Amino acid sequence: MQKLPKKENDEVMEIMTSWKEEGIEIGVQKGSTKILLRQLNKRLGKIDGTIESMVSNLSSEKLEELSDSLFDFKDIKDLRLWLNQTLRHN
Amino acid sequence: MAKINHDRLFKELLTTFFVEFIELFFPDIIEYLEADSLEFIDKEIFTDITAGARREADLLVKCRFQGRETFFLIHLEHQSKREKDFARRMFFYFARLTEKFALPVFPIALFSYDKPQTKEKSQYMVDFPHRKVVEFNFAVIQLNRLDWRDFLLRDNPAASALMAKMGIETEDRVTAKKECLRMIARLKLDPARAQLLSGFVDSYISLLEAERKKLETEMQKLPSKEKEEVMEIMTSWKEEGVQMGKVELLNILLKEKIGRVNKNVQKQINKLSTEQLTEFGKALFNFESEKDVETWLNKFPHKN
Repeated sequence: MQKLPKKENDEVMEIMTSWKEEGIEIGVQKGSTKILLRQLNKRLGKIDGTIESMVSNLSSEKLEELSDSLFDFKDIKDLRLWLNQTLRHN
Repeated sequence: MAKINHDRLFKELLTTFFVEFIELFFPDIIEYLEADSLEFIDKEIFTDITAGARREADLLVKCRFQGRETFFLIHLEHQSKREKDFARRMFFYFARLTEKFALPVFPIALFSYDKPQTKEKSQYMVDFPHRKVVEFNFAVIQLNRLDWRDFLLRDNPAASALMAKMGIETEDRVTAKKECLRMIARLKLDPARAQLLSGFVDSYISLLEAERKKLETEMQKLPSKEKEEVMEIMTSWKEEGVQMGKVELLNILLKEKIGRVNKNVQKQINKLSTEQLTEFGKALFNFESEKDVETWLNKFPHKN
């Protein structure tokens, strides 16, 4: 137990800033969008640019909803329907 | 917001910009200090100085007098809280340092708390009715009694950071932060140093959402060259964050897929480059066990 704080002292100090926090959010968002798009592509076949940009602009909550619904989609029409409904509610 | 380790942040700042700190507040010392003679004394060497209470003096620097072969010590003690009997503690340090090093000691106390603004003592006295036995004086920098506007044009790294801890009226917070960042940009330091300063400023002038927007609007009004340089400071942090966010996400997914991985594997994942991370994200869905992750990671040369 006593060694712990000392070890921490030897490491480079990590400063958390508001800018870094902002970046983390962006990183998580970007990453999830990318992964989700890849999954959609895999399941539903080639996704066109319009749909891709619609997905890319979803908020993180909506992305989460989409990842939950992902496995209910049978084809690209279902996805399109889901997106239209979601974006209309915004 | 993560909890700030005030002592470490200050220590890092004051160690990195020690001469600049002295230049800013004690220009008279600079006149007799041989700048390239500075030697920071490790705290291990003087922990025994404060017996009883497990305390270490903050910063101890051995300096040479200009043009002479004699030395002196600067003892800089940083206080992030108001403390009873602090003056007496300074005296103890002084006495013990004198005993241990047999060198003249210049004591400085730096107070960084926001409240109270009551003036700190700069003296420790032992006084009898007909005889003053001790009158010990030390230098005091009490940041909350200084006006940040007085330092606006000083263009000194220590000033650019410490301004954030000076007396700033609520309505001036956005302007103060902007000015700190502008000064950091003007100083044209290497990225690591600029990050230390801007990280310090951001930790201590943490803005609300509305204030953040106002700061951004203010930044847009700067001349384009300057705007670019100031934005660069913030972008460097943001980019670091984006990378961290991606790693964080992949770690969550990995945990869901195969459970927690061991520390070594974790370390290797954290070290992946942006491109490698993308590849890792693609491969992730095919991992069935930790072994698969290790095999995948071993495709890349890595240092341990």
